[in-house]
Amino acid sequence: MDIERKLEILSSYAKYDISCVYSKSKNLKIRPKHFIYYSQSNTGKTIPLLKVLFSNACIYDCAYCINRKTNNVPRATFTVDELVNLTTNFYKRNYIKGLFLSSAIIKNPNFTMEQMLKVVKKLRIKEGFKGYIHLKIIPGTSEILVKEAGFYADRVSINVELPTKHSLLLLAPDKKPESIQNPLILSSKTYIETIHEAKKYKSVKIYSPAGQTTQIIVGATPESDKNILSFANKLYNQYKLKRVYYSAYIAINKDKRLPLKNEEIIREKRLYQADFLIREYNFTLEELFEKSKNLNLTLDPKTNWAVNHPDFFPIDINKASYDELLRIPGIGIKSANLIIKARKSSSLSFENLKKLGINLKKAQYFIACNGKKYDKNRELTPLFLFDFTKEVNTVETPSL
Amino acid sequence: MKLLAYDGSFSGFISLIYFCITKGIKPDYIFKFNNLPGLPVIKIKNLNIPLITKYLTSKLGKDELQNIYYAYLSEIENIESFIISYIFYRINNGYNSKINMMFQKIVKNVLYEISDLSTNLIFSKVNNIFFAKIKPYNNVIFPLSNYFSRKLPRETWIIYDVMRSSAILHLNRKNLMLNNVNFKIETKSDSVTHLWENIIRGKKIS
Ligand code: SF4
Repeated sequence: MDIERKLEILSSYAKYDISCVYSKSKNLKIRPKHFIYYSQSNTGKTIPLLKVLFSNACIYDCAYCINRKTNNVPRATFTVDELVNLTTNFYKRNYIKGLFLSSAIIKNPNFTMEQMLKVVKKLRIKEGFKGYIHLKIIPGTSEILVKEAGFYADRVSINVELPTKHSLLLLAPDKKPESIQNPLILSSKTYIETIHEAKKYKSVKIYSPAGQTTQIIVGATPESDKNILSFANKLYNQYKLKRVYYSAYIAINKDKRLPLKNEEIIREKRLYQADFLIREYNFTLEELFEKSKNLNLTLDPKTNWAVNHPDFFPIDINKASYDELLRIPGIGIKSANLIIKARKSSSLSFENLKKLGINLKKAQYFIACNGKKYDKNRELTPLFLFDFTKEVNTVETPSL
Repeated sequence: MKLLAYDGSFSGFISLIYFCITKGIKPDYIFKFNNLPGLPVIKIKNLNIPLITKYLTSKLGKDELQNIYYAYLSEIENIESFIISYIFYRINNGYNSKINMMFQKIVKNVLYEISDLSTNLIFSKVNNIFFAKIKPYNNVIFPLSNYFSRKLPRETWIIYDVMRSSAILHLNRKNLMLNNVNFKIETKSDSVTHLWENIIRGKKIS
């Protein structure tokens, strides 16, 4: 098989793994078409990466996966040199800034991981590749290989895939829970250890310096949003993961164990919003799930919390603490900081807020300035109102 | 009217900033030596750059000095005088929202262009040299070449700024500035371009 066909297959079938992906598209219905993915670096910069599988000839049979062994799809496997050359050639033209390498399991987990590591080592050592590397750790990989991976890659990730042991055993029977858990524990421990050591000794290399991420499939199994987010919390707090990615289930395979339809992509969005509120805005899990185990799909979780807590509002912009400001729908970290800085010199009016660039579209219903609520009526209404519906209605229908 | 002039380099401009701060002079217009008017101007010579940089860093902070450099790269007419007005506000702890906002906007534009080009500039391979043509609005070839020296230290490459007829040649891990150049290089599509365009850019797979 020529390299063109291999690339065609192995980049195409890599698109279902969304870990590390930052979709530039604001339109939720559009998933990235091209096989370049935008990952977010430590500094918040987005990095275009070539995203490919080393192989899609899998020996496992996970129910939800396009590459499972019982699917009749074209199969391909790169050689180490092919993938190294491809990556360096694209990188030198500046088409990409790095590589996101994952793979189906060929022969066994260790063999697969060895091949992937050969690619990464050759890139780093022989080719002097300075680009970003995100390397997937294959479930069931030996300790030695897990350890090695994080010292060549900027980021390693292990997909936990499903939030409960029961679901994992049901949909991915070849993946034993410990085959995911053990590498995850080891890489988390090594990451934390090397961070501590690097503080003492400058020469210490940090393991997976861009942190670790994982992916959870949402909607393939019946877990609630609360279950999923509490599972994610554990990953953040105990395993020190940098990011948990939620991937709305896509019904690619027909399988009795799976739902017939795709999961609504808005659920994925709501989970990200809730995840963000917990990590960055000091919301607790309990606060987000006071009335239901699932997030409201119509309202974003912050607005939903606000409309359920009318006693908390209106918040006076000139008196509120930073944490209180963050509770206001429409006001984010940047706006809260701007308000705190600006109100030091004089108390703020609604006009001032507009000048500061604060978006009042949502916030207006939840705030007050010096005791006064936002009065929409004070704004000038258009002088001439054109009501087209009326005009149309008054047009007489010509008699036949 | 206070008219000053410098040699047109950033080192020269740093010397000029030092001169203005220490003498308390706010110039109305700043010329470059190669573009002097028929009026009396004060010509500023380059001074001890490391010492001045240290002095300015202590006065303004490292980040601000960096921002001054980026604003300077915008090449807006008389940007030098504007930067000096801004510096005076900063040093005297004053705050002029208009000047401040304008300064931030200029810096942001330059940074945006550097970031945009560092992602979107494409090299073609011509006789084993990687060649890229750019038409930047700001004079960003230096920060851009610094970025690519880190990214592609071992390769030989040229970034050619068509707007300013200048280029940077990266050879043997060193960057060389080439002025008054006019490259007429035809870039051809090869197997790598083909793979990129057809497979990765999704022309073939839906
Ligand atoms: S191991 Fe990975 S590639 Fe193989 S079937 Fe399971 S999810 Fe798919």
